[in-house]
Amino acid sequence: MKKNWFAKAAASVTCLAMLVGCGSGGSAGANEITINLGAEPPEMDSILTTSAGSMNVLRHCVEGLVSLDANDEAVPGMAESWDVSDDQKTYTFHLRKGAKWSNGEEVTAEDFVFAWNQHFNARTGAPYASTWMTKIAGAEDIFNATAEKVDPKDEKSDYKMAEADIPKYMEEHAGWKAVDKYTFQVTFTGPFQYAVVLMAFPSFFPVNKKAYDAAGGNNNYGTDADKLAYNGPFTITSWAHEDSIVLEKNPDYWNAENIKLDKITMRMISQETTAINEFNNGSIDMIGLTGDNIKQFKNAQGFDDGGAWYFEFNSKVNPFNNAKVRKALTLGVDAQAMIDTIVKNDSKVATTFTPPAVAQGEFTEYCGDLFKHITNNDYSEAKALLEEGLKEEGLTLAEFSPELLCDDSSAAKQQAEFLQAQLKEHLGVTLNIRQVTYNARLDAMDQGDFEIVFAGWSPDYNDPMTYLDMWVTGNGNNHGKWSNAEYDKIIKEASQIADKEAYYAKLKEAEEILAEECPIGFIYDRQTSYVTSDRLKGVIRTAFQDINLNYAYVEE
Amino acid sequence: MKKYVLKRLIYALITIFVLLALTFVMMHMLPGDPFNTGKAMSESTKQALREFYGLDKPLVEQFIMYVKNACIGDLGVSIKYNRPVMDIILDTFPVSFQLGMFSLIFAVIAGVALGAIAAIRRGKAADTIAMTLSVIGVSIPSFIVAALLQYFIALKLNQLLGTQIFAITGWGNLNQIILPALALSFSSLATVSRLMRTSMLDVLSSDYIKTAKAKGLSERQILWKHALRNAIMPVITVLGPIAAAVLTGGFVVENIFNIPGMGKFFVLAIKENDYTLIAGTTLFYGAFLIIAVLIVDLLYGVIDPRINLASEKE
Repeated sequence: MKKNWFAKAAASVTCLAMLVGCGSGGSAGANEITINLGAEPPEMDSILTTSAGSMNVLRHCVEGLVSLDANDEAVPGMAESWDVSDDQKTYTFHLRKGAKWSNGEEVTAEDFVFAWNQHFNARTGAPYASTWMTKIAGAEDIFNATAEKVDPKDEKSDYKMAEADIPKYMEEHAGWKAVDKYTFQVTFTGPFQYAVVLMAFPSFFPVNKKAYDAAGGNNNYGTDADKLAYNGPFTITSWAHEDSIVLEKNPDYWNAENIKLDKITMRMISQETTAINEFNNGSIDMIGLTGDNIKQFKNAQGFDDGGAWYFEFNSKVNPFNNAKVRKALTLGVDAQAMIDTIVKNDSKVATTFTPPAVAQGEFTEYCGDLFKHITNNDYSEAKALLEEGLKEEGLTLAEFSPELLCDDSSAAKQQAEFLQAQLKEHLGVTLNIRQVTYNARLDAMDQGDFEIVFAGWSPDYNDPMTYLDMWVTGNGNNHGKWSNAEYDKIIKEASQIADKEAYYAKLKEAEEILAEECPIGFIYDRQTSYVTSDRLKGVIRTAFQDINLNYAYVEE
Repeated sequence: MKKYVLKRLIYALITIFVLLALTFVMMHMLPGDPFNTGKAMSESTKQALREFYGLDKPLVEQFIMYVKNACIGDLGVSIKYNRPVMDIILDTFPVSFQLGMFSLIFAVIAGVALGAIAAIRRGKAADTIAMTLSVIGVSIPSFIVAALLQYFIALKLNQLLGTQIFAITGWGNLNQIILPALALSFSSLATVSRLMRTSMLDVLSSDYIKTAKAKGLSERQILWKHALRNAIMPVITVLGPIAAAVLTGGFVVENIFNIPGMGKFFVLAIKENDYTLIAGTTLFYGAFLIIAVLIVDLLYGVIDPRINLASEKE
């Protein structure tokens, strides 16, 4: 018996030993690439998702009405062409015939109607619905009607509208419809410059109802490779959770002849140093880089990712209700020094609240540098301004020790400590750092439980409005509850202007108010750094697509 | 004996229940909201999500529901991943378990050998080397060992030889298992070897070894038959805690070698307020450890017949 055990153990060790050396990894075949996605995409349901990682995968395997090119401009996708009404509010998209879902169904206008209906039905629980419902005719009505409870004061009471009545209500109110099988029409609430480009955002992707129901519907769709239907350049052939997603070329894609890659493997390596080791080993073709790791690579690249980082002041808390105090604290930070010491790439000191990656830089160029007076590193002025402001609020510099809320990532901690040192050195202000988890920081911001928070924002759509409408009174993203009637009026008016020049002129007025009032302190416009292997070509990285490998290719 | 096991099992159940109740209360006290994405969201959307995950009900009701479902193996759906928590555990626990077992076996075999050699060759070079290694093992955290092994053994060796010997990341093949298991076992190995050395020295100077020597038994017979078997007892007592450490402490090593184990979910679920995932992984680990400790206790009785578990009085 004992011997038997030993023999078994010895045999299994030998077997395992034979496996050494025939591991996975290593460079892929001719038209195959591997990139690092960085983290497991939480879900791949375009109706629900808010995750940038999920969207990165989705854009390779599901296609909306339009796609984006290297300049973030719209190019035909499922729609071959589109017409715009005279008032620039109604768009009619003409779908290409014969486009197929991976389950064999044809892609029709009904797939868009189904996805949009699900998205704007409040009971689905799609977080992005509240961002988009003000842009699309009827969406807000539908959202509110489906959300309404029998007893509005008791959120636990039943829904007022019966489930069976929803389809009829939707049909009557939705600003989107299938005119026929291949024609999809949508009416926006204003003459938006960004209407067509917006259709490339995953919330507006089509979803095939048959595939959705087969996967188990809401909260089940998109949780595994076989619980998702594809109509894009690639299909997901394997999803090993927390390890990798494998995308293979979709032969049924309408533009398949121009798709050169056969296979893309997206790894989920969260440790940057691990990813760098894999990259140096030649087993990964593209990885992201931050901080000190950037300068390790001579061929590191960067792109403006459209994100901005800034102080958000709680204007409901004394003395941050005082514009002079807010302005002084902004001026007290050397933003370029922050970029050089912490961020370590070509991120830029902000010149407007809207970053240059938005609207192809047209708007920021139109505005010019509106922030000169708060980024000129004139610390004596900053100090005088601070003392003046504090005095108005009945405080002295000695009594003033504001609290900075930040999360517990090492990057956030570094940034907070840098800001602390800057304000001490330049203004003599002692900044207290309150470190909490990322989720707790978001929660504290929502509750208004902060004095200053160092926060970031990434754009949802390619228009300055994605930044500027945040500071309207009552906007859920306006955590500091800053309120300015003039500003509100400008934003409201701007959203109804069809002429681009006039639209920019109006928005510039809003930017000027922000520059003067400083409800937020402007620090920098973020760049994302990455490096690719020499063999990988044709990678598109932009603010509104992040990673686009649809037309990438390999050149050995 | 049967009665003893039954009693222990009942205690285990009570412990698990208390653990779950405490976890349930504490996780809901954590700051943060699982549905917060950083972008403003309508209160109705949050309400719809809370309803779906059953978070709109009073805590006590949620707890009762949870216990009921857990009894039939349903641990709910992860808020972040929208996948059943049971699926996540069944996917990832075997990975962490394999990693843990590999490193545990390695730590015990190498630790016992190293400790025994050090004791036998007390004061000689072998002793110094073994003990230096164990001091290093105790003082260097596993993530540093992991990072060093990954860089020098996996990457640099591959580059030097021009072929893939050890994988840098991933899981499944032996060449993906060895380095992380080694990294994870490092500190336990050190503990085991120091413990083994001390205990072996004790045994070697005891009377019965002297008697054995006097009887004229060979050195080998004395070592294998008398010394080792007795010296190994204290090592078995620390096996429980060491098993617990390597099986639950794999998070950092898993992270560095990008191993799809359970550690990540166990740790990140708390940061992300993923209540169902926190409760599920805690419950699972808790139950697993309590049962593992029970097995070690029973094993103790098997190895040392002098210990009569059943007659123990509290």
